[in-house]
Amino acid sequence: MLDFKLRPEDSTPEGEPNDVYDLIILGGGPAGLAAGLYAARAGLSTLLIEKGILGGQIALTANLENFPGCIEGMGADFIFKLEQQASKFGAKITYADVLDVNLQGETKTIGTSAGRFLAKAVTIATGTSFQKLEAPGEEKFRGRGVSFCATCDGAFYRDKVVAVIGGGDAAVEEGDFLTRFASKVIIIHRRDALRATKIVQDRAFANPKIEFRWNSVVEEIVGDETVNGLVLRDVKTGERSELPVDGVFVFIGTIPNTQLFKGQVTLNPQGFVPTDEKMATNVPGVFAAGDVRQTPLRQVVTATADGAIAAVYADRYIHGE
Amino acid sequence: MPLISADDQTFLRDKFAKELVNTVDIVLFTQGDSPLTVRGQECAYCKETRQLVEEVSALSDKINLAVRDFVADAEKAKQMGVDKIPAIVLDSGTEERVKYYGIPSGYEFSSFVEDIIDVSKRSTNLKDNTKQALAQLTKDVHIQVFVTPT
Amino acid sequence: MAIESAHVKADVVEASEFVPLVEKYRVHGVPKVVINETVEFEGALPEDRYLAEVLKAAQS
Repeated sequence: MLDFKLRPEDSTPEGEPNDVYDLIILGGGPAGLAAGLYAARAGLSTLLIEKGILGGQIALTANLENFPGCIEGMGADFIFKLEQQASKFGAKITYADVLDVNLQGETKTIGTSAGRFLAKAVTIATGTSFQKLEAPGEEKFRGRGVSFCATCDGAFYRDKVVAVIGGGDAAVEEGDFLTRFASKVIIIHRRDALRATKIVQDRAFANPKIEFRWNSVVEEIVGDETVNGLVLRDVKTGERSELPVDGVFVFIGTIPNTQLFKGQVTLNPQGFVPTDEKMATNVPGVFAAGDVRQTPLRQVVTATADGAIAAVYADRYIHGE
Repeated sequence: MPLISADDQTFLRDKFAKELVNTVDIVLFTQGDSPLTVRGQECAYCKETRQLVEEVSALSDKINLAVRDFVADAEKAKQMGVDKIPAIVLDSGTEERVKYYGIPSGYEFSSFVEDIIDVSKRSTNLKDNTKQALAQLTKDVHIQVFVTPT
Repeated sequence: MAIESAHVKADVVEASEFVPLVEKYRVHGVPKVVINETVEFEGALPEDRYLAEVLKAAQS
């Protein structure tokens, strides 16, 4: 199937270093973009800093089909619309790596690869990265058979056999997606039941191309130039076995991108940022929103809601309320 | 049945009218409708690629299209550095340095449109320091970007 | 970049149509960028880091 899509006009102005913004948002996923939208509408001078591409985890998702009100699933379009909407009201976006931050005091400093930016308030919306297996072979074969993104890389496994590691929504949904290309998808899970939402599970169980390996963990990823198999261990019996596969997709959870904030804001033992119901961290003027926050649910709908709250309370903070 | 929707055609016609500066020559290398297929040069989307660039070039007087046969015009292909098809060469002030191999579908189509405009303007939105660094290059650089339709 | 410099040529290659090249450069993910056969990286980079990779390729 071919289609030809036009991206919305990219007219978002870039931020200039050394300007003092009312609000700087770190991260251009759904939480950051929603915060940008609300902040700009509130009249705050707003800069969003993104290190790679806008969209966060959603940019890597095949289809966003559980955003309330959007019956037709969306993917990249959703992010384009959010970006357009935020820039329509005046939010600026700069692409740079954040190198260091100083969040104490009235003026916060954000040092980036594109220069130093200053702000009265900061919203941390840096999201999460994929948890690695930490198994031998994982780094060596990354991009050569080890992947963390089915949407990006699935097409390279046409008529091949791939393993998916994990038992949550991401693992099972992406496994289901991979059957569009792969001849067989083997979902490897360390427990004997999936953690994924019921509808997602049902879809996977009904898919004849999906097989399951229960109670199994990956000991090693093996191959020569590219991956050709996995060494598995049965957690009940301790028995090892080899499983020939052409690729392996890892979806075993996420870790927060908060290394930069260690020692500056309070983090929980897993590294997520605890906030109150106004999305405020323990540091005055510093807020957190989206997946990076200590929160019971990490979805686009919760991330955008967080972003809105964080922006509204950043506005009140700046105006001394 | 056009590949580009009527709405998008209207939008692009307007955009090209506003933003194109110099003429852009699009050269498409494809293979003819001959029943003989050249072994090893299976051309999955040659027909669609041709239709696509025909539709795009029809949207502005400033876009000229030349369709060439990869086999019959092998000499020209070699001269332009084209080694596989379908190949779309964007030629203006850029001396054939921008090429698309394969059909630019999904959001790649959007990048393709932006490239046509940048080639026509002979300038991009790159930062000034990037432009300066590029201007100081003394060696040739060949960038290949692999993409899939999204 | 190819528009800005006479020394730069850029090809956008639709991976699923050119399997042999994909195998040659062991493309297992997109976007994958190969510069002068010497430098390669995967994923989107900010402009300044992208430029650094181009300059690295031009030096080797």
